[in-house]
Amino acid sequence: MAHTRKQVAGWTAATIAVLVFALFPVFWLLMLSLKKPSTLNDGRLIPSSWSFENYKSIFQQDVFNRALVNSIGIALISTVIAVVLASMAAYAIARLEFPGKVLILTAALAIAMFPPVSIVGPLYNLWRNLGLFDTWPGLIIPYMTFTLPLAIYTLSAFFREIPWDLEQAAQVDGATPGQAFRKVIAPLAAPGMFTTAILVFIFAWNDFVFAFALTSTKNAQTVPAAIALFPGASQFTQPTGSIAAAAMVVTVPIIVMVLLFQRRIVAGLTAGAVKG
Amino acid sequence: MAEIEFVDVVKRYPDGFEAVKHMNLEIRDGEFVILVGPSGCGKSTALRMIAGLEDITEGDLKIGGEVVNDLAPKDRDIAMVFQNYALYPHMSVRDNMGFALKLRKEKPEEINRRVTDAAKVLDLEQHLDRKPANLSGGQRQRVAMGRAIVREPKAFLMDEPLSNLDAKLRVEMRAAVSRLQQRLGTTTVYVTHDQTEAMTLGERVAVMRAGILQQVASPRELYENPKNLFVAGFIGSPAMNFFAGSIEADGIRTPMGTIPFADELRRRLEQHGSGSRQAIVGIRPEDFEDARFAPEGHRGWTFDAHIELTESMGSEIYAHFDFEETEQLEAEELRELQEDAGTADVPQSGTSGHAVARVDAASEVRPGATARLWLDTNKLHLFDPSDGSSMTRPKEAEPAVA
Repeated sequence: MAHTRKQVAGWTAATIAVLVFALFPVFWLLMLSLKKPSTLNDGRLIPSSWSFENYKSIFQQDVFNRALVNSIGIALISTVIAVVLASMAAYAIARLEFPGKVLILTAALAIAMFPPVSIVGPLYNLWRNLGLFDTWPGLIIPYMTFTLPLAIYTLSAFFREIPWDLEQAAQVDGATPGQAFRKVIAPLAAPGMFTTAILVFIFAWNDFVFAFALTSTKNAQTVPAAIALFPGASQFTQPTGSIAAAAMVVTVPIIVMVLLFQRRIVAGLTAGAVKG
Repeated sequence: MAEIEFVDVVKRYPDGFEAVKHMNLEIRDGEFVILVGPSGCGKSTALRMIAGLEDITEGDLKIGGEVVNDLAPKDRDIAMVFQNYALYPHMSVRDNMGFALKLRKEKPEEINRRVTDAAKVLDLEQHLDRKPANLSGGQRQRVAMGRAIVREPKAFLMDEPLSNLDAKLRVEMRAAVSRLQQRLGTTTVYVTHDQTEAMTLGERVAVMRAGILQQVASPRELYENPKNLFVAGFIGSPAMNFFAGSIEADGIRTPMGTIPFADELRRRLEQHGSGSRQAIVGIRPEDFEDARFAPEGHRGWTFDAHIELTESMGSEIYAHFDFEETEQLEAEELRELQEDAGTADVPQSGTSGHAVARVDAASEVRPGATARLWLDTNKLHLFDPSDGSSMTRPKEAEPAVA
C-alpha cells in the first residue's frame, strides 16, 4: 500500500506528537538531573551549565546505594521464585486436566487484579505483628501476588505451544516425567521462561505502593520508595536534582533492557494468540 | 524380542466410551503385525496401550510373558515411531538418536557405534549433525526410525509413520520398513488406516472396527476368505461390490440373474445353514471380466451390463455399470459399511445401484453402451444380512482371531 507524500507527512507529525507527549517528562527529568543544584529553579529547560553533581551526590548517600541493592535483590529473588514456581504450575495447567483447574486460574487472575492500595493497610499491620515489616521477605511475598499470575499465564501459553508428543516420545525413550521435563521441555521453553523473567522483573522493579508502605529504613527500602523520601539539602529545599538523578539511574537500565528485548517481550505477551 | 499378548483388554474412558472392547490378540516374537481399520476404530489406542501411554481399564497386557499393565513406558523396553515423528527440535539428529541410550547411561563409544550403524542403514550419515527443522519429511521419518532402531528394543510400535509422506515417498519407505524389519527380526506392531500398506507389509493383519477385532489373518486369507461384510468391503481396492440377493433352490438370485451354484460354493454354503434365505452378494471387481476375455475353463456366469462410465488405468479398465435391485434388503450392516466408507451420502436413485468391474485393457467397453460381462462363480461371497457374517467362508480355514 503506497503512501502519498501527504500521508507520510501526516503520520510523521502524529508520531512525533505522541512521542513528545510520552517522552517529554523523561526528557525533563534528564535535563533536571544534569543541572547544577543552584540553578534548579531558574526556569530553563536546557541547563545553562551541565554538571553531574546530582549523580555524584546520590551515590555518596548511603540511602540510595542501599536502596539500589535492595531493589536489585528483591526484584531478582521475586523473579526467580516466580518463574520457577510458575513454570511448574503452567506445565500442569497446560498438560493436565484436574478438578479445580479453572478455579485456580481464575483465582490467580482475580488476586493479581486486586488493587494493591486497598490491601497495604491490613498488610502493614499483619507484617508488623509477624515481624516482616521492613524486610526483604516482607516485600517479596506480596510481590508474588502479581508476579505469579502474570508468569503462570505467560508460561502456560508457551507450554501449550510445545507438542505433547515430545514428552511421550521421551517417556518411551526411557525418561521419567522429571527427566522428560528437564531435558526436552525446559530447553524448548527456555525462550518463554526468559521472556517471562524479564516481564516479571520489570513489574517487581517498578512497584511503588507495596515498597512505600511496607518498608521504612534502608534495610528493605527499594528505589521507588527511597526516592520519594529523599532528604533535601536543608529542611526547606526540595531534593529535586537528586530525585531526578535517581530516577534516571533507575529508569534507564529498564529502558535499555526493554529496547534490547522488545521483540521477545511482545512474543511473550502474544504467545499462543495465533497458532503457528 | 518378545511376544505381546492382549488378554481380554478393555479401554474405557471416564465418560463411558469404550475405545477397545475385549481385545484378544497374540503377537509372536519377531512377527510383523498390522492393526488396520477406519478412523476411530481403536487401533491407535491399542498401540498406545502397548507403549504404556494409555492406561488399561480391564484385562491384561503381556510383554514377553509378563503382565505389564502398571509398568511405566520407560521400563517396557519398546520403541515407538510417532505419526508426526516427535523429534526433539533442539537436538541434532545424532543426539536425537542417542537420547534413549544416554538416558540409560550407556558408554559414549557404544552410543556412537550404534548411532553410526543405524545412520548407515538408513542413509542418514551426512545428516547426523543437522537439526530436524532442516530435514525433509522423508529424512525426518528415517531419523524417527533410527531413534527406535538404536535402542534394540523388545518391540517396535509404529503409529501411521508413513501417512505424512507424499505418495511416491510412501511407496519407497514402505519397502524400506519391510526390509528393515526382516533384517532386524524385531517384533513390530504397525498401525495404519491404509489397507494397501496393511496388505503389502504385514505377515498378519488385524482388522479393527469400533474397538472390536474383526479378523486377524494373513493378507491373502483376509482377501480370499473375509469373515464378515466389513472385512470384505475394507480389504481390497477398489472395494468389493455388494448386491442384495437371495439364496434359492436353483441358485443365487442377483441383479445379474439367477446364478447356478458352483459345487465348491454349495458345499461351503451348506456348512452355514440351509433353506431359502436373503443374502448380501459380494463380488470383487477383479472377479469380473469382459466376456470376450473370460478365462477358458473357468466356471462363470455371463450377463449384460449397461456401462455407465469407464476408467482407463492403462494396465486395466474399470467399468462402472448400474443395475436394478431385484431384492429389497434392509441391511443394517450394509448401511454401516457405507457410512464407514463415507459413501452413504452418495445418492442412489431408487432401487438401482452401481458396481465396478475390472476388465482387460484391450476390452472395448464404452460408456453408454451395453457390454457382455462375465463373473467368476467360484469367487462369490455371500453374507448374512442380519449380522454381516460370511456364509461362504470355508470352516476349515484359519481361525478368525488368533
